Order: sequence, then C-alpha cells, then structure tokens
Amino acid sequence: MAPMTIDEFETHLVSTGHNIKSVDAGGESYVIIIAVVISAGSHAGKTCDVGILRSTANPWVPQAAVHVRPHLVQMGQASSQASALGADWQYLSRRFDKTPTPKALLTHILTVLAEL
Amino acid sequence: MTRMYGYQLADYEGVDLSVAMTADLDRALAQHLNKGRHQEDLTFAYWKPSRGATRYTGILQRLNLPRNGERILRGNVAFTSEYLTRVLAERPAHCGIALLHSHLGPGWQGMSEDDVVAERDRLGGLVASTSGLPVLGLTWGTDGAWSGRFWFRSGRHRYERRWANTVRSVGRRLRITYHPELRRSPATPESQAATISVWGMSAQEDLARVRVGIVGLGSVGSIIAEALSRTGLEHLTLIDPDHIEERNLDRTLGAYSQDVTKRLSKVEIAKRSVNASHTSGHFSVTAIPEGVQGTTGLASALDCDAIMSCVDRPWPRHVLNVLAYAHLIPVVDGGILARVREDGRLLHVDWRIHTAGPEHACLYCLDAVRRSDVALDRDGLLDDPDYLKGLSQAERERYGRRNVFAFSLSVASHQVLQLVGLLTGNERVGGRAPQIYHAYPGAMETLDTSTCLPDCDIEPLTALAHENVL
Repeated sequence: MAPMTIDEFETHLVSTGHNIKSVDAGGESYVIIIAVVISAGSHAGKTCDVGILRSTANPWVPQAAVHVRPHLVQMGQASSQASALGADWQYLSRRFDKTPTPKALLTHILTVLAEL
Repeated sequence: MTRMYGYQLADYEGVDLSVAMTADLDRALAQHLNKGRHQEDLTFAYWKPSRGATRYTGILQRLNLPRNGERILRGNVAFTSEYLTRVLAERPAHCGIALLHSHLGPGWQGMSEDDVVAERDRLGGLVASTSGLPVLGLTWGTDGAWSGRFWFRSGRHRYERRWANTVRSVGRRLRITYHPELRRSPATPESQAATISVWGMSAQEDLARVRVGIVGLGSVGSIIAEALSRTGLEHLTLIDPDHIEERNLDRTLGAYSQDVTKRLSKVEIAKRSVNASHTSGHFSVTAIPEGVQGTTGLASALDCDAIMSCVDRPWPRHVLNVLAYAHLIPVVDGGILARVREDGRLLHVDWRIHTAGPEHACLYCLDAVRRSDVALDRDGLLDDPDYLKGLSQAERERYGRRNVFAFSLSVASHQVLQLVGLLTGNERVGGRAPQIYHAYPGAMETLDTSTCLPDCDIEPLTALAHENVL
C-alpha cells in the first residue's frame, strides 16, 4: 500500500462531504475541516473546526495531535494545550499509530471528538 | 546548486558513482540474462537517481524486457531500434534508461568496442535529451557480479564513460561488486590475521571495502565504531549532532572528562578513537556533526552502503527506516528497554537487534518504532519536561533512555555480527534476525518476522529514491 499523502487525505475529506480550507500559522500549513459534527460524547450534536498539520514528507507521519476550535475541554485537561493556530484553537494531544490512510485518519479524528 | 543533476560531466567530477538494485530484481535479471555458455542477452530497465553528499547512485526500478524480435541473438546480442523506441515511449516520469547485458565470463567486466558503440553512440545523446539523465550501462558476469558505468556529456556530440565504484544488490544479503581498480582489494596486514582465520579472506574483502555509516555515536555507536575499525573496515561515516556531556562518560567509549570541558562533539571523539584503533592500510573516516534529520546528515547517510542505527530517538530512526527501502541502504538497528521500579531498582531489561531493508521487516512492522513517537519527537515534545510529566508510567519508561555500559556492549556486539552476516551472507556469524535478548533468564529469542505487514506503507517505497524524506 503506497504511503498516504496530504493531497489524498484532502480529496477523501471532500469526497465524504467535508468543507476544507488551508491556513498558515507559525510557519506551518494546516488543513482546516470546517464545522465537523461531533457524533457522540459530552459534545454530541455540536460542531467544531478541526486543524491537521500538513506535510509534504513521504511518507507522511501525521502529527500526534488534533487542533479544535472552539475549545472543547478546560485548557490543560484531557491532554490539551495551546495551539499554534491561535488563541481560539486548542491542541488535543492524541496518538495515531496505525498505518495512515485517509479513512483511518478521519476515523481517528471523529473518535477523538466523540471521546471527549 | 546543480551538482549531480542532469547529464553534464562537469557536474559529476569527483563524485563517487554507484548502482543499486533489489536482490529480487537481481534474481529476475539473472534468470533473463543467463542463456548458457555461448549466448549473451540484454534488456532495458528504468532507474532513478539517489543523490548523497558525495555519491550518485542509479537505483534500478523495473525492467522492460525485450519482446520477440526486439533483439538480435548471435552469440553476442544487439537491440533493435523498435525495442529502443518502445522503451523510450514507455519511460516513467523522472526515470533514466539503463541497458543491461550479459558477458560470458565472471567478475567485473570491461567493454568491447561493440558495447561502447551501443551505449555511447546509439544511446548517449538520445537518452540524455529524452530523460535529462545519463545513460546507465550494466554488465552481468557469469558469477553474478555486476559492472556499471554512466555516460556523461563532455562536449558537443561527445559522451564519456565514468565507471561506478560499486554495484549493490540489496536483499537478505547486501552483495556488492567492487570496481577492481577504483575499490581495490585490501591489503591483509598481520593485525587482521586472527579475524581472517575465522571467516576467510573473501568475507574480509567484502567487509573491508564497504562504506558503513554509524548514526548516533553514544554508548552503542562508540563501541560499534571501535569494533568496525579494528575489524578492518576502510570507510566509516560518523553522524551525530550532540556534544559529549558529563552524564555520557559512564558509557561512551573513548570519551574522557577533558572532552566535556572542551565541549567536543561525539563524532570528533569517535573519529579520534577510530583513527587510533583501525587496522586497515587505507582508512578514511568522515565525521558529520549533524543528525540525519538535517540535510547534510541525510545526504551523508545516502553516501553509505549500510547504516548502523545507534540512536534511541524515534524521528531519526524513522528517517533511516525510509532510506533502508527507498534508497536501498540497509539499516542494522538496536534498542534497549530497561524498566525500573518506582523505588529505583531494576525490574527487567531487554534489548533487540534487527535489520531493516528489502527482504526484511521494517522498523514499524517490527514495532521497533511507533509513528506517534516519531511525530512527538519531530515536534520537540520528547524534550519538553512539561509534556513528559503528563505521560503515563509506561510511556515514561519508553523514553527513559536508561542504560549501562554492559547493555550497550551486548547490543553493539550483536549489531556488528548482524552487519557481518548481512555483508557476507554468513548466518553462522550473523545469526537469524530479528533477535530479542531477555536479560532474565538470559535468553536470546529469534523472531520469524522477515516481511512487513500487509498494510505497511514503508515497504512500497522500495527503490523509489524519492527526495522528500524530511
């Protein structure tokens, strides 16, 4: 299985009905998934924006973090910290150890949100 | 900077040239080219360049075998214009074109006038203008030895041959054919007599001429450097960004307290040691005070035939894991995990040794590296005390980097033995990898894992020679 690229991930996001845009912050580039619906957990039914750090390295090793806006937990709780994307964003430190595929990474993001 | 790009001879002066292929491709070529004692054969293939700091390698990607009527077999062999036209038309993007043919004798092969005419006159200009890369020519000897050369443009309608120093076939074994003049067989000093008496002169010749990179010159790497220089290896590249510190002195071979005062780099210390301890007549060592996550460190790693991975950090090990497949540079990796009770007493210690590269499982599939650790290391979080404080006990154990000199001695020894096994094909020395040693009860476990998992995304990089590794 050829390594996933950020372009393939973005294509998958669009094909599954998500709206995305690119944002630069702190010298890095992020793909922003707009208004993701949280399907379960304490925030079920709400929406949030999700930021994923882009990389052109091959293979792409996704950052062990999901950036969310607005803040979904009290800062410092649930392995959260400040995000390079800005004060209205929150960095959720979460490990992703599977072989990266677009479907697996999106599932990981939705699971992180549902477990809050 | 255009050096080592394109096909102009001036951009390759002083460059070490090499060719590499997987053992799998080598076997397919032998099957096609071996037509018995009286008939030569040929094929075209596609290749991509791998650019190091001082070495340019043509990495063969895939064959384009001749169809019926596309070559003329009359004892010797020639390709038809129709075959060449098809090969040019089917060339994948960014790939060069190689012509491979067989001779009827063993060892490194020279070229007949017909061979020169085919590669220089029929292919030189046409292939360079089409692909933007020099023609690569290879000749197969009846003993499986390869000889290789590139044809660079030296003037108007003028192409000149430059021989490759080495041709590498990379699989369970790393089999290298050396140019007999550019990489001469080593002298056999009396100081290596005992070593040669164990594994023989042929194995010693294979070992002596290989260029080995040691990434990480701490506890394990400093011992490996000493072992390889004493064993008679002639070419070592040492890569490490760190300076020696007081806390390293209990387990870094060749380091002394005055080195801490002078803030010497670990590669300077190791270079000093191997320059004093080597037993070869033509020893050269290159010290690179940078990690493989930097462009100079990465380029220097690409100059090596094999790499000893002696770093405990996940990101550089990820980079080496990628090089092992994409650039066909096998990596012998080791690691130590010492678990300690909360009261400070040792609970258990294991160490493991394995080789990554074609026909071996990669570091991810061996669970020797985890992707999330690579990401955390790349982001600098494994150096952030606040982040480390929030980790679980098990996670802190993994990043604890606890070690004592004796553990490193054992790991270094087995890494060297696996390297010898890789280079000589002698499993009686190298054992069967991967290996895990359990200090209690004192048992070496040998794993059956020799292939990557079905969903691995590293093994598919094999021979891609891509440059956006970082």
